[in-house]
Amino acid sequence: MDVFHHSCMAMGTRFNMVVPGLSHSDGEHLSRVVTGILCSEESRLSAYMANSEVSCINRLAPAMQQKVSDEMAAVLDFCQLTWEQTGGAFDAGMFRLKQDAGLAGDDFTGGWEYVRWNSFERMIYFENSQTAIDLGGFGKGWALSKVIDYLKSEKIDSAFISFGESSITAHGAHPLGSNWQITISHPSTGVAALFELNNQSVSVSGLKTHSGDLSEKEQFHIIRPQQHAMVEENRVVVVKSESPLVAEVLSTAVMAASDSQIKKILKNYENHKIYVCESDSPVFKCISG
Amino acid sequence: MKDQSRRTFIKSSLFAGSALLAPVSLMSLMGQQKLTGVGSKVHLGVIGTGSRGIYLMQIINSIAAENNMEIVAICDNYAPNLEMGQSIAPGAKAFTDYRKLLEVKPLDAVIIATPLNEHAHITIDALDNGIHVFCEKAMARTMDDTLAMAQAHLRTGRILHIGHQRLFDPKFLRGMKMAHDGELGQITQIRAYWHRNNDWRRPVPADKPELERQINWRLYKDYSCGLMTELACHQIQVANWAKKALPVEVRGTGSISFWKDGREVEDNLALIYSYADGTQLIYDSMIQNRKYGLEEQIMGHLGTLEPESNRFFSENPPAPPKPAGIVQLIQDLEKNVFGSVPIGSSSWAPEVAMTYKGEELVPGNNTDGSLEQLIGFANSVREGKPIPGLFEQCYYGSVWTLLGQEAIDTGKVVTLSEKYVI
Repeated sequence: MDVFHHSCMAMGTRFNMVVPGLSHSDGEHLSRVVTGILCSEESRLSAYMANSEVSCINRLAPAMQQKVSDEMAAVLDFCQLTWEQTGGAFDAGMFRLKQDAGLAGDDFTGGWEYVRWNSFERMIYFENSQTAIDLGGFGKGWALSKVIDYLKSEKIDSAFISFGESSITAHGAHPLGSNWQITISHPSTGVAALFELNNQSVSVSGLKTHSGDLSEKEQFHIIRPQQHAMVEENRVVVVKSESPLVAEVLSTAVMAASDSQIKKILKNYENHKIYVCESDSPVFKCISG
Repeated sequence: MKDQSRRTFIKSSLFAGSALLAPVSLMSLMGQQKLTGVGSKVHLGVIGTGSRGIYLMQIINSIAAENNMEIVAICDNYAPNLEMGQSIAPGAKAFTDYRKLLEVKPLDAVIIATPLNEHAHITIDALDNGIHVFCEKAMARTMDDTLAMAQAHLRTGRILHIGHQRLFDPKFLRGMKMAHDGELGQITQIRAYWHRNNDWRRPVPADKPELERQINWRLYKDYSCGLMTELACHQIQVANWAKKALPVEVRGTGSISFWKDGREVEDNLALIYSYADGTQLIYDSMIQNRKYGLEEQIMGHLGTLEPESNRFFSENPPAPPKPAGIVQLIQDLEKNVFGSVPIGSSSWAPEVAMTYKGEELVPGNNTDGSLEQLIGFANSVREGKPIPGLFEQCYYGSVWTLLGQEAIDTGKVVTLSEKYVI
């Protein structure tokens, strides 16, 4: 069969989309629009781009209230809700801590609890200058949701998308079977698990990489909000959900969550499958109902 | 070459559209700037405490202690703005007449962030009183006012900084060095755009409709050229900086195509600036769609600079490799084989080294240059010396902005009159 493949760079990683049954000529327009969606969302959400809306908020909101766009309001609504429903394990207000590890511990007083978000007025204000928004554990899922909406509008009924190999979406059914099958393995132990996807997404969070080309310090990139410290456990968390966005934020949140936060997450996200594989686990254990 | 003949040579070169003195030493000057423990205190007045003035005051407050600066006086003739200014600088004397502010002692410099049509006379009054000036861009509403500001600067020897903060932004400094060192190859086309999606209005009190023009001055031609002087001015300056040259002519068109609410300035415009070597600057701006945002795409035969995004793109980037799982999936599907895909990595790292999304000009850059420019201004005031080449950049940025507006207004191809060459 014809297989259309599109690859591009976005959000600091590589995006790959495979569309069975689509010719190259039909896929060209599709790939242009999808690339545009990704670039547009990155330009809005990246705290590393000086002119993104997030960067403008980070610059100005510590000083005075800032009005945000409708799209950013939807993002902030989601961050607020997820912060509450994860008991603070997902915290989008930790950008300064990620930028400057020297702030870790008691020296750091930022985070979402210092964000004053007025959804009705679309106004945001930070109570201190150590608070700044980071949508790194959110952006790929948000962008994937937009891409899926576009594919649906174009009547594309089957596609497989890998965003940085850590955010994977199977749109529709596999053309040769009902479900797409993927294998995810723990990079240190090789313990693997098979996941079946049909109109579902998985997000994978972990520290170690398969390529092993990072220093130990570079591997620590997920913040544990309550302790203001980096997650150092060598575990892999996989979240399977119908929503790529929920999968994305939960995989990060579970990596960083305390026991009490895990309980809250399991209660509030009971329809989502959460798997954990520790460095000494023989299997990926499903911790959700 | 003697000073006089050198000045004559530069002037005639500028008139011919070439040899703009880029502030090439800006990078090294920035590197030499002392960020802490600087000398005598710089006493500042802020004239115009609307949104931009407040933004600059907030920056000053954040750097005042380390850079020995103090806002000693503020002025605005609109009470809510003045109140906002007082909340930011509670210890400063407050005025509603800028002439009273100019009498404050000690006062080393003023920051002018008023409506555009007020820039010239306030700047000239300040310079004539021996006070250095940081004036927001564009310089003035008319060519004659712009020239008068330049003449006052040259006559008094006082420093006149114009708020082209990109001239101090590390990613722009790095990008321009690359352009001037030939890393982009021959630059033949620059595309620049600034798109927003809002009506560009500020709220007017319901019981004071007579304040409409004063508050929404950007929408009325007596006060401003709208998108040209408030947005495009920055990008025209950047294009000239990249080319180290001035255009020789500009043509353009514009319209009020969407926000038909009584405003007088265009909400949608497009221009082409042509340089003597055949380079074209293609510019457009609109405020009814924000998808493409803001960028200058400076294109040479070896690469493209996108400084707003902190990016350089080589014309020969490495191809991103497909992940092994994707390769297998494609092969299986092409052979009608059903199988599982070995994929799924940890969240962000393994692919970073293999990506090509251009090269970051300055890693982690998260500034717009305003802070650096204010530090640079304070240092210039302290030393009493302007940064070589800086004012010319700003002056011709404003001049070619106004010529662009003239092209839109007249529908003619517009060139620079020798009268306005400094």
